[in-house]
Amino acid sequence: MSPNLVELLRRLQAGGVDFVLVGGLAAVAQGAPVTTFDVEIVHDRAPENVDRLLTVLSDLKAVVRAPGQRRLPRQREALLGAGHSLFTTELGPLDCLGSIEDGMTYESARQRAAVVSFAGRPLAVLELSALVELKEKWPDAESKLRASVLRQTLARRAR
Amino acid sequence: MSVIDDRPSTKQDAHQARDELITWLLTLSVDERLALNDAAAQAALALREAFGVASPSEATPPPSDTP
Repeated sequence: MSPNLVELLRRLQAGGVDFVLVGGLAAVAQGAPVTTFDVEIVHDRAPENVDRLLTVLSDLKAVVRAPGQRRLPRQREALLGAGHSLFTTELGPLDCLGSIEDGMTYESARQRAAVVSFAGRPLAVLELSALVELKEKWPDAESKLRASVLRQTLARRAR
Repeated sequence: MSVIDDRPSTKQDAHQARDELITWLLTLSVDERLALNDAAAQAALALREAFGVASPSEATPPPSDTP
């Protein structure tokens, strides 16, 4: 299946879901020369927002990606919690994260978010400096390389 | 007269090439950057499929690859 992450993002926006875009796509949106295969969001865990998210997930025929190729149904309780819910949708993978490193939630991510214009609407993306800080905490070589690319993007933007 | 630079690539060359790529990406709109990512991801997945490699979304997910 070919991912259509642009349309996936549009559907989240159109569904009125409050979230901060994080991960590789947040870096892409801010000009980093990386390629990513999924959408990662930190969503507002307020019950009414989770219900809007569930509606979009239903429209996208989302199922949970679980180890061993298992496919599990969507769970409202999981989206209300601080854990990670990883979905496969008809438009590509979507990771809904109740919190990320350092206990960063939607509320704290909003404070480190830049608001950009996407498809004619505002889109909150975790700012590059925060992405660098988070990436630098991972010990693996891929994260180190990614952090280096993000730092270079940050430096180039500052010039 | 054309001059062919046949020096081996260096780390500095790679850094400069990446800098030029970033400079160009920064001229694009967010919509254009995201569309470019979709095109690159689709091309990469088509290559993976051609070579019989599982797509990232089909692989067992790690605990977290965020951010």
